[in-house]
Amino acid sequence: EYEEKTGRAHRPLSPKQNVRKNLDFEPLSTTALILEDRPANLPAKPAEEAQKHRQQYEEMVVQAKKRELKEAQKRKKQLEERCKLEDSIGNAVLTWNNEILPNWETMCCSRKVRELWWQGIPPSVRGKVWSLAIGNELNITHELYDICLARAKEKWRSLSTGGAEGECEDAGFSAADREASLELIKLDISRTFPNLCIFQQGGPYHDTLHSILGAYTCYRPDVGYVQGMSFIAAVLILNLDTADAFIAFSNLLNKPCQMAFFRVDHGLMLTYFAAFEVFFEENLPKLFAHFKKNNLTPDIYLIDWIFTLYSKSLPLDLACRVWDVFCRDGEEFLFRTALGILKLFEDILTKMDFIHIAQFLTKLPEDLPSEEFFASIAAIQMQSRNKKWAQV
Amino acid sequence: AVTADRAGAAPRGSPEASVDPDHLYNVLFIGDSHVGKTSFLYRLHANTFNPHLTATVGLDYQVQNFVVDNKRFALRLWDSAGQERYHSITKQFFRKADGVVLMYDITSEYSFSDVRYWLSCIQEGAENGVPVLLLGNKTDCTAERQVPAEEGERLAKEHQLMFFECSAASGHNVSESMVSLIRLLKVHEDELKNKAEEVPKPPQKKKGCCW
Repeated sequence: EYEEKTGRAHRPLSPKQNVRKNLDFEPLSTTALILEDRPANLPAKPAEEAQKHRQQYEEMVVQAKKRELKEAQKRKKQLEERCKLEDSIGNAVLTWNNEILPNWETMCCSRKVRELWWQGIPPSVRGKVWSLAIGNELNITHELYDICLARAKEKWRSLSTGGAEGECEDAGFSAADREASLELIKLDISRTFPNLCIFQQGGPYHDTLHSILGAYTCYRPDVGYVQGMSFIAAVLILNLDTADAFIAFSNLLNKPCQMAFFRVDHGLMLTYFAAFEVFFEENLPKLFAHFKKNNLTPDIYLIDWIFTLYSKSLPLDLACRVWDVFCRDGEEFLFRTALGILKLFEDILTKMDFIHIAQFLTKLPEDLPSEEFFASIAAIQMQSRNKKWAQV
Repeated sequence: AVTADRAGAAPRGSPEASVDPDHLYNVLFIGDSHVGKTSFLYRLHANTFNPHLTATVGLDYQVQNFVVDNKRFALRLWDSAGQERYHSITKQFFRKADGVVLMYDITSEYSFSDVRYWLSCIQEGAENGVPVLLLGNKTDCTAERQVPAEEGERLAKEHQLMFFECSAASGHNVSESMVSLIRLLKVHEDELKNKAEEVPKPPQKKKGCCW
């Protein structure tokens, strides 16, 4: 083995300068490819053969050179594309910051803005746009957040100083209070985006997430903490300051669709599922029939998607882009996204049976191609027999 | 007289077993939040412990194939969210379950006392006499144990449940408990079939499923 190693190391060190000299461009992949004469102790090659070998050798080098030039061009193109992308993001940031955000009310619905919005909001302005788009119907102030947080902290203290569950002052209903007993929040925080390692105990956003969820249970004891909320709060924390994240969180959950789900209002949820199925059948009749045949009802995959607004089932960058348009278009877009996913994987899904579909849809592939994904969503028509989503 | 084909207890995703299993069962996993239902299923599937699992929202699904007593079994495992709020969603799946795995955490008395609540859910929602496996998870955490094994055993006896303690973290009793459950499900299926056919036949191998 030693010999092999040294042998390999040696060869590039003793290049035949005369052969190499006439090449101005030296392909990297042929640095180890050297035309050698036969060792002196063997008879020399006949001139004809030597000529042939030289020709073959030069051909190889030329081919390699071509290949490398091609690759270099490809790399250059990729680099250019990346620069272009970065430029366009940079430009978008400027447009958002200088033109759109200062004139939000007048511009937010214009066609130009809507188109730019669809491309994805640049991360640096994302939080601001989300805040504006979600709005603050509830008129929550930073002070109110502080008050709610203080109350939550009081509860934690009384819990940790020996009070059994249900001993909180305003606990007339122990079962509901148990959910809100903040115990569950603690357990779930470390189970929120565990791969990012920022919400776990000791992570930079652990306390922030804890605070927002705790404050919310004090702000809305009637809703309390529901599993799935931690994902929504976490995505907001990644894009907004704590108090603003709380404001966006509370207002977001106050939307009719989110309220219906987080309060587990069965009647309303079924209405949403039924409306979804109307558009499902309209857009993807073949797959719809396949799902029907397999008894695969929408609750099986929609619950996870709607509760966490796709933040658990899609890669985070894609989920944020879904959130972008969700902020623009409202709940309708959540269901449109669902149909987009089904459309994207239609061919695979039609070959699967019940449990494999359920398994597939609750654990979507991690390498979802974003452009295809959004093209697939774009192809979904949210109009059924001239009825729009809200009417259905 | 029966020996589990332990080596083949979980041919992970082996396609031949899934193509045409001899028996197919739906098994619902229930129990309080954070007792380890998803971790148990992960261990069953990947044979390792994943400490970085996310909280389940709604339901998750997994198919797992087993070979027990030279027969091929496919289990459709339904993993439910533990939080009380989700129970109304979970409940509608009780009816479809051929078997239920009720899990508690031996380091949490709370989760154990909730077992009675979960049993009432089963009684309410599932088919009469559905096989139930009671699992006390996290035996690797001996220092934090709050529920003695005898208590679990007693409760299981009282309600005629199959009982195991296990650990998704160490793998202790994970496939063993599932193999036992599969045998129980098979016996139950045969009983149901015999009843349905009225003329009792010897419980020979039959093809079919309960779906």
